[in-house]
Parts: sequence; structure tokens; C-alpha cells
Amino acid sequence: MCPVCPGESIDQSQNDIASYMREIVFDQVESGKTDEEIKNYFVERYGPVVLMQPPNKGVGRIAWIIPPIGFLIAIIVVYMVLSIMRRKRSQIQDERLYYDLDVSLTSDERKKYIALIENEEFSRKGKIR
Amino acid sequence: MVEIGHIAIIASFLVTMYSTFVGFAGGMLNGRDLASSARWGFYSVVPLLLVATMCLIYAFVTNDFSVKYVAENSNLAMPKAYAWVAFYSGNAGSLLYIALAFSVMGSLAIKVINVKLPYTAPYALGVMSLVLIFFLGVIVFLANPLDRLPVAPEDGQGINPLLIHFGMFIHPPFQMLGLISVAIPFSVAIGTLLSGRGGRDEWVDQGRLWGMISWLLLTAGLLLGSWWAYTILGWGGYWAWDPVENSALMPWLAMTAFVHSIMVQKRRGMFRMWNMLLIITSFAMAQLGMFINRGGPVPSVHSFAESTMGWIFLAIMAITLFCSLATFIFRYDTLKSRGTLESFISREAAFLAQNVLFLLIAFVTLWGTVFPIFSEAVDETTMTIGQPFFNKVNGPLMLLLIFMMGVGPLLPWRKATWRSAIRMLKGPLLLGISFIVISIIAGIREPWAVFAFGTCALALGGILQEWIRGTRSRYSRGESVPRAFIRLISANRPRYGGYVVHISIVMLGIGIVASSFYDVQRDVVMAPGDVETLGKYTFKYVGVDKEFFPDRVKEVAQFEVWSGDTYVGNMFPNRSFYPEFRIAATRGAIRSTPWEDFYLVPSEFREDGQAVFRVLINPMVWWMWASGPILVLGTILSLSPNRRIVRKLSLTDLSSGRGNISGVYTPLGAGD
Repeated sequence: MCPVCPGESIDQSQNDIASYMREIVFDQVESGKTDEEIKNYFVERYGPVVLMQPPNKGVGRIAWIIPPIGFLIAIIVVYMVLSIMRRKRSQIQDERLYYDLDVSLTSDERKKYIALIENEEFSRKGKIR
Repeated sequence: MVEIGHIAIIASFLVTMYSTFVGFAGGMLNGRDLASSARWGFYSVVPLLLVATMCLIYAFVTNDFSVKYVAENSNLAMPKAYAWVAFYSGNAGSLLYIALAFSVMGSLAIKVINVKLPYTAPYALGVMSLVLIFFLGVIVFLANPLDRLPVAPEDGQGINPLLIHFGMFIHPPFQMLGLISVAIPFSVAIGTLLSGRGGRDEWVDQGRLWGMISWLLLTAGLLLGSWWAYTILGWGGYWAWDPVENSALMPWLAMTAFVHSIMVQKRRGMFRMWNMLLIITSFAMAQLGMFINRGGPVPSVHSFAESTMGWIFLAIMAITLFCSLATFIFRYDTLKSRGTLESFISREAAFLAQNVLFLLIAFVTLWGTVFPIFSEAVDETTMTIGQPFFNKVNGPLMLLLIFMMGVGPLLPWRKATWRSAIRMLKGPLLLGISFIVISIIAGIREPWAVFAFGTCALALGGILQEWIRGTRSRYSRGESVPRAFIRLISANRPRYGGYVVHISIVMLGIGIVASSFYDVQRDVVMAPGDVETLGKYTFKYVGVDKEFFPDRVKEVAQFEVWSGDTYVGNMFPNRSFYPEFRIAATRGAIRSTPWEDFYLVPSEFREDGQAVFRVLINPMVWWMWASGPILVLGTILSLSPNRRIVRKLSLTDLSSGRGNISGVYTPLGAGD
């Protein structure tokens, strides 16, 4: 992460400092240093702000922990909402599902109609006209 | 000229105030005259703001540097066509642009809503006017682009050179319009709550229509923005998880969830409260986006319109959120669900899971964006959350989303048995798995990439299966194949339009996955005459031309490029240096094919004739840009009204047993 240009990495930035830092990285890779050592070299000079991602320790760890926790909570919420919605269903009669259709049907027609809705493909097969 | 603009802005501010009060009064007293007066008030803001805009652009074209905003954002050397870009390149001007764009789109929306939802329309109008008042108020009292300077300078400071690009004509207008247009479905929703008609589901069609338009604008803004970054910022990428990019992505995610879950309400009368909360969240996120863009607290490459007034946007966001949630709680009892969930294996359940997933991604993105502030407050260490973090965290979630996109539409409404679900999913799953096997055989070893390609294949397979099944059943009734296919799509446009959009998302996904896992990059130092190779490409650096302009020095490098043994032509990457700004703008040269992009960017031209270039091969980026038009097409298709079928419907036909089948389907919700 480039120290002077907002929001650009040294890889992206066209700034002089960024290209200077690229050269440092290049030289240090040449001299056989590991990635970790090079990163530490920059962190010592500029602080953790130069890293593109927070370190997995101290406050930085919080950044990493929250998303998986959010994922777990999301799964639990979906499961709970679905089961609550399902429980409610058993209290309500099936017929209520169609009460909003303001049409009076004989029981035979009603059965036919429900059967139609149940069958996903009815509109394509078009058996009933 | 400038004074006329001043008067127009103040007049529009007063008229909007009038519209707000009279609009709400019209809704509460059920006064038709009041409501229509408020409506005409809102319409009249459009010409007023047009006049103000014309005045500002006139000042740019005539180089009237006595206007502060013109002096700050242009100079004599600026090409005149960029007067339009300069108009919204700064803070004050972009506010005027937003107000103008919102008044135009809001007027259209009010015209339509007034016909479709006569009882809700006055309230919706009131909410829209409130939003407009905010922007006009900020312009009038804090940041008027038409303010004069006490002494007019000789020349202006000039426009930021990075903004001199064709993309500037389209990306910011779409992005800003997209963000503010979220206010329209939001107003419809809040209007429905205020008028107490939330239980009738009548707002669903209008909410969906304006929600999708706004979603389309946001998508266009995002895609154009990435395209612009890819061609101009010159690092070979298109998305950097920059705070401002994130803040545009978050409302897009929330809106995507909204346009999906509104279908459940349309079809099954469920998720009434959820939809309200989603649209409230979307609007809050859109406001947050504007806040982060304007003097936001986090550093970003987008800090063009920066100003000290970001905090006003944050305050307004808090107030909006508070008021809309209060309205929601106040009208809570009107929003009980009609339908109920019958099974975990149903499309409703899939929609809910998908919705939560979208919100989770939005939340994680928000978390990553604001974390630097958090860490500074807690520990006093500043940290950066960059690309690697978001890729690691959001990547798997997005993959899961593509999986849901493949599975969800295949599940039936209400309930499915495990057996029928497996029967529907068998084909796509097999296709996905076989793709995974093929990729491994073809030498793709990266586990995430293999997995992602398999998931994309699954999603695509699901859509194809639906098309083939539908076409086949029509074919068996004696229609020819192309005819059956076209009939199939036009019979249920929301559904098949949605599939077209899904295909474009798969294309986007393939482009993103391929280019993030398989890009090749090399930095080379070359003297004129040198030849280098990367992958199958061989390129020869012929030399550099220096061109001098009043405001910049432009260095154009010439390359001869071969792909394998065939000569494919010259490429001219260039770099301009603007001494006044001390900014260099590079423009890469790209040879794009569906298979891969060959990308050349100059990093540095040295005195001794040598030059440093960055050479990249980005696989399949072409597909990302190609997905854009398809996405637009799909959205338009799914919004186009189904007149033919609606006309055929009549309830008497239904009760007498002669009901047209596709007709029965439509009023229940064409969103199957």
C-alpha cells in the first residue's frame, strides 16, 4: 500500500515513492529475503498501514473474525426464520392460501385449480383450456 | 447569466418546499387538488434546474472564471467538450447534477405512480420532495456552484487530468443517478407505509419497476467504472475494493436482494416487512455511499469531489434511517404476511437464503471499509483493508451466491420433495461436476478456480435446462423450435428476462475468476529495437514520440506485436505528464480477444532512451464487458409489460371454467 497516494497499492500507483518502494522490494527479493522479512521491513518504517490486509494479530484479528461470525449468524437467522414461518403455517388452514382470489368456485373447480397451480408445467403443456 | 441560474436554484428550492407540504397534506386530507398542485410543483423543478445547469455550463464554455466553481474545475486549455464533465467533477456541481437528474427521474416516476397508486402517490411525492429539498438546501446554503469570486483570476486551476477520459462522460452520471434513484422505490415504499396500504401488495409492481430501473443504473455505473479503471488507471485491473467502489457496491447488493425478494411478495404475499426493511437499507447504503465519496473518513482514489460536508450527509442518513424505521414500526401491523412457508426446499426459502447472503456480503464489505476507522479508535494504529482481505472474505460468499443462482430458480414455489428437487437439479449438477473434471484434466489446478468454473457451469446448466424443457414442450405442441423458444420467453418475460440477466452474471463471474487467478504480469525494461515475449505474444519496442501540449507532455510508445507467428499490428501505449498537477496519466494499449487481453502500460520513460513497461495477459476480461449489454437487455426484457396476456384475462372466464391458463398466472404474479 502506497503511503502517499490514497487507496492505491505500490503496484498500482504511478507515484515516485511507489516506484522507489517497488525497487526496494525488487532488491530485497534479489538478496534472498522472504516475503515476511520484506513486509516487516516496511511495517517497521511505515506501520501496519502499509500492508494491504490487516495482520492476523491484535486489533487486526478482529477484522478477520467478524465475517465468519456474520456467516454463522446468517445461517442461524435463516434457519430460525424459516422454521418460525413454517410453524405458523400449521395453524393456518390450507384454504387460506387462496382466499384472496375473489372468485367463487365449486369444490370441484377449486380442486382442479389447486391442482393446476401445484403443477409447475401447466402453462406450457396447456392441457386445460 | 449566472444570476439567472441563482434565481432558478432558489426558486426550485422554494417550489420543492411547497411540494413537500402540499403533497403530505394532500395525502392526509385525501385532497385530489392539493396532490395535483404538489405534483405540478415537482414537475416545474425540472425546467428550473435545467436553466441553472445551462447557466453553469455556459460559464464553463465561455471561461467565466469569476465563477468560483468554474475557476476551480477548468482552465483555458481544457477541451470544450469537457465542460459537461467539469460540470459534475467537483462537489457543488455534482450536487446540482444529482438534483437535476433526480428531479427528472422523480417526475417520470410520479407521473406513473399517480396513475397506478392514487392513494399512495401524494405521500411518495412528499418523500421524494424531501430528498430533493436536502440537495437543493445544501446547494443554496453551503455549496452553490454558481457563487462568484471577489476577483476573477486569469486562468482556472484546471480539471483533474485523470478525469479527461471518455469514460467520464458516462460512468459518473450513471453512478450518481443510480445512487440517487434508489430514493424512488424507497419513496414508494415509505409512501405505502404512510398511507397505511402496506397490506394490499399494490405497491409491489411499482416498487419492482423503479427498483429494477435503479438497479440497472447502479449496475451500469459499476461496470462502466471498472471499464474506465481498466483502461485508464493503468495497472491492468478493474476493481480494487477501494472504499468508494465498495460504497457503490453495497447499495447494489442490497438492491439486488430487493428486486429478488419483491418477487416473492408479488407471487406469494410473503416477505412484506422484509421488503420494506430491504429498501430502507438500500437507501441508507446509497446515502452512505454519497457520504464516503464526499470528504469521507477513509482514503480513496475517488477523492475528486471531496469536501468538508460529508458529515452533513452522514447526519441526514441517520435522520432518514431513524424516520423510516419509525414509520415502519408505526405501520408494523399492516404488514402481516399472507402466504406461509411450506417447506425448506422451496423457492421462497431459496430467495430468503439468497437475500441474507447478499446482505452478508454488503455487511462484510461495509465492515472492511470502516475497519480502519474502528482500529484507529480502539488501538490508535491505522490499518489498511485492501484487495486481499475482500477477495478472501467475499470471494467464497460470492461463489455461494452463484451456486444459489443455479439452484434457486429450479426449485418450485411452495414445496418440493427431495425426489423432485433432485430430479430438477440432476442435469445442472452433473454439468457442474463434469466441468470440474474437465478443468482438472485441462490442467487447471487452482482449487478455487476449478470450483468456481464448476459453479458457473451449474448455473448456466440450470438456465439452459429451463429453456430446453420449455421449448420442447411447446415444440411437442407443434410449434417450430425458434418460434417455440421466442414464444416461451415472451410468455413470461420477468422470468426469462431474469435468466438472461443470470447468464450475463455467469459471464461476469467467468471473467472475474479467470482474470484474477490466471493473469500473467511482467515488468520489462526495453530500449528501442528490443524484442521481448510474454506467453504467446512477442512484442518489439520501436520507439517513443514526445508530443507537447500547453498543459501536458505526452509520450507515445510504439510497439509491433505478434501473437504466435502472426503479426497482429501496432500498439501505442502512452503516458501524459501534467506539470501543474504533478500527475501522470497512463493509458495502456489493449488487444482484446474473447480468450485473453494483451495489455501494455508504460511505467517510466528514462532519459537514456530506455523505458519500463508493464506487460499483462488478462484472460477472459472481454467477457466482463460483453456481459454489460446482455444484462441491460435482460433487464429490459423482464420489465417489458405483458399486454397480450393481461388483456386475455378476465375473472368471469375463470369462474366459468374457461380461464386462460397463462392469464391465471399473470395476476398472481408474473414473477414465476
